[in-house]
Amino acid sequence: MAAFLARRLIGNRSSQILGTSNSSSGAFISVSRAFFSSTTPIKATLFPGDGIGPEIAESVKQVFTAADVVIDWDEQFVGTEVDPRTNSFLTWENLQSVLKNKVGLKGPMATPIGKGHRSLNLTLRKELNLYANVRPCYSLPGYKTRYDDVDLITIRENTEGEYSGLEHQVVKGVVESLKIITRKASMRVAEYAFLYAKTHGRKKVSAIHKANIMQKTDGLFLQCCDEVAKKYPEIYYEKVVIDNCCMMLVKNPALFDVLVMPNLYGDIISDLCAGLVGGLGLTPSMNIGEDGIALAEAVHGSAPDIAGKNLANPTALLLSGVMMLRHLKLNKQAEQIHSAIINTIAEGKYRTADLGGTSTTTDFTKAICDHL
Amino acid sequence: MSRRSLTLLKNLARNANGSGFQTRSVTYMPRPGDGAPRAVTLIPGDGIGPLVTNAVEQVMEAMHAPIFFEKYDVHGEMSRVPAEVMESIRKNKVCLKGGLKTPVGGGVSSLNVQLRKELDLFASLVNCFNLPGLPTRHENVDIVVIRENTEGEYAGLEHEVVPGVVESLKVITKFCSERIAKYAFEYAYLNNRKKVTAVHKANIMKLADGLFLESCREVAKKYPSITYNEIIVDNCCMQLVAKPEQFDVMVTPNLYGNLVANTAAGIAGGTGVMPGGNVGADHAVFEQGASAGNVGKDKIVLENKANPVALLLSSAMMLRHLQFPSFADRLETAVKKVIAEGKCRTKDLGGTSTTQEVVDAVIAKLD
Repeated sequence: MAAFLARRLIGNRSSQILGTSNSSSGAFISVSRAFFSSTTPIKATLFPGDGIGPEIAESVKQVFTAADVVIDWDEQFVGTEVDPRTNSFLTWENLQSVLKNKVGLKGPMATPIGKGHRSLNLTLRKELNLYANVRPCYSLPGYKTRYDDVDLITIRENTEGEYSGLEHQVVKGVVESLKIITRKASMRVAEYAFLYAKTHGRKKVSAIHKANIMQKTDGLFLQCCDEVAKKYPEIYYEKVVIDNCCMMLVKNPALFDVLVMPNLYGDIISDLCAGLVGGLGLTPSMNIGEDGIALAEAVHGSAPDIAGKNLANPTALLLSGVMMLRHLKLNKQAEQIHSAIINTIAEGKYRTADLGGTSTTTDFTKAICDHL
Repeated sequence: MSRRSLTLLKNLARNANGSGFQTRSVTYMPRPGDGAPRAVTLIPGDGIGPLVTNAVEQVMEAMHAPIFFEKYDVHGEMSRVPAEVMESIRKNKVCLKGGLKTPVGGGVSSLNVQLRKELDLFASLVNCFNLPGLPTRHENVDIVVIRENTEGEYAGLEHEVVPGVVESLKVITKFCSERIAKYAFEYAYLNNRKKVTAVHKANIMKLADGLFLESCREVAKKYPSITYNEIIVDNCCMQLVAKPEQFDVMVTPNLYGNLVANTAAGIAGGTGVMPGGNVGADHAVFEQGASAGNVGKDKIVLENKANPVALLLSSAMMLRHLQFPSFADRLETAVKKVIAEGKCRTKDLGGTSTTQEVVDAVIAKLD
């Protein structure tokens, strides 16, 4: 386990040690921010969310303070009625906050049932142009699942594909749904995937597709990935058909490193990978938008049945916060917090109910702070 | 009391006699003439296809099964399935097939899909289950995935709107959704299955998958003794890797079915051992269950290390379909015994045997 952690630490910092250049990419924050000393607070938006959201957000704030991460949280709350400017419960101010701060952390949001407004996640995605969803999945040492050697990242195109929402009834009993793939969106996500692989020291990128059946659409996606791959000759690039990929993932997940996929496949595969390592309660996630916007989020639900009872597991939101810190180039603190979380779970003394333990949220948080 | 315990011991000994697999069952009563040999179209196909179909031929020969094969050469690069092959299948009504290679990226549409559409084989069935003696990460897996085979995302209707923007149509019709739902519930009813789960993404694709779900719900009402529930496809995949024992029969539209079937096959032992087939109102084509990389790697072909178990089990399904249950049972028992023993396994199951060695072992175990 020590070797595993060491590999992780060195792997993630190799880019720093080797001094790769990434200031030219638009996907990372502007150079000026890098010159801020660690004492100048960075402003970041925080959406505590619903249900267990506020408790786990509190957890994150505590751990970050204990680790000396100077972040000025700009807390935003979703409105209780539909805002006509955005046509959803997310207000204009919420969105402006993220656009201004360029970085944020989002807790679970329950989508209110009803018609006449857009879903919250859809609103965020469309307004902030969040085009890539990045989910690292790795086995947590100390939390045993059937799979011990998972260490992969899924990068999913988040704006088009099968989720364009363009459906219509042709005649009664016949429905058509459009799947759209554009060169622009595919290039964007492919560029991001290879850039991510390079800056995080990853050796292999696999493009997942079903181009043998959907020749033009997935064919276009593959073409874009091929083009970008040529610019990164040091990264091994392969193409895997999605059914083959599912099979390989459940048999031997160590075969994969970085996966880049269109929308639907990405949805399914990223959830499958989350299942391999222990479920959505432990999975971090980050959405990347144009102009360097990054919104980290916890992908699990708001769990209304345990809300307010101090039973929630803050791991997913904490790990997402770590992703956010890495994006902000606060790698040292990110590593500290990350190791603390891993060690706390590995130790096994403080675990929340969903991991099979009996600790409360506050105990778990305190244990992490102690491990820092 | 010693007499009773003696009978008990005798019963135990009989049941534990390498069997638990084989008991003499009450057989069905054939009509006079049912034993006449039936013709079955055989398409060896590409890659590992010829190896594994040859395995089936050998075993059928050894069993003296009342079927004879009409072999036809079809390859993935052909633009259409030859007319004579289609004629033969239409005449025989049953076909056994190895994989047909699908070129990636452009030009020819898959021959496998063509075959399904022309013969209207609207249901694809894969049975994923743990084989006794084969260690896997998951236990208690016994899932049947029934997948709509003709429409959905595989309609093949794509076009470039303007350069750089491509559209693909996913078509869902009430007619096809209804018949696949009916088939799934009928299968569950006839095979004593307790639960049918519909897999969908109707929270996003409200109209398309919504229509599919509606059809499933209507059919479910007619089978009150079978539990029916629905699950979203991404949650489904997550549950499959975490708790596969909760699933029994799953009914899905085309694309999700492909993914779910391959995932289920992967957790239960791999594509090399899962049987399956495609069935329509008039015809049935049996092939390897899950089709991930369906023609296998070239190296496997060269070294003759393809796993024939999947196709052998599929041919047992075929024998039952043709109403030769005793032969089907014998074949299945022999295959399961070989796997359970563990001495003769191909590379994908962790062993080093060649295809021929497995076939010989199966023939040796036939009784």
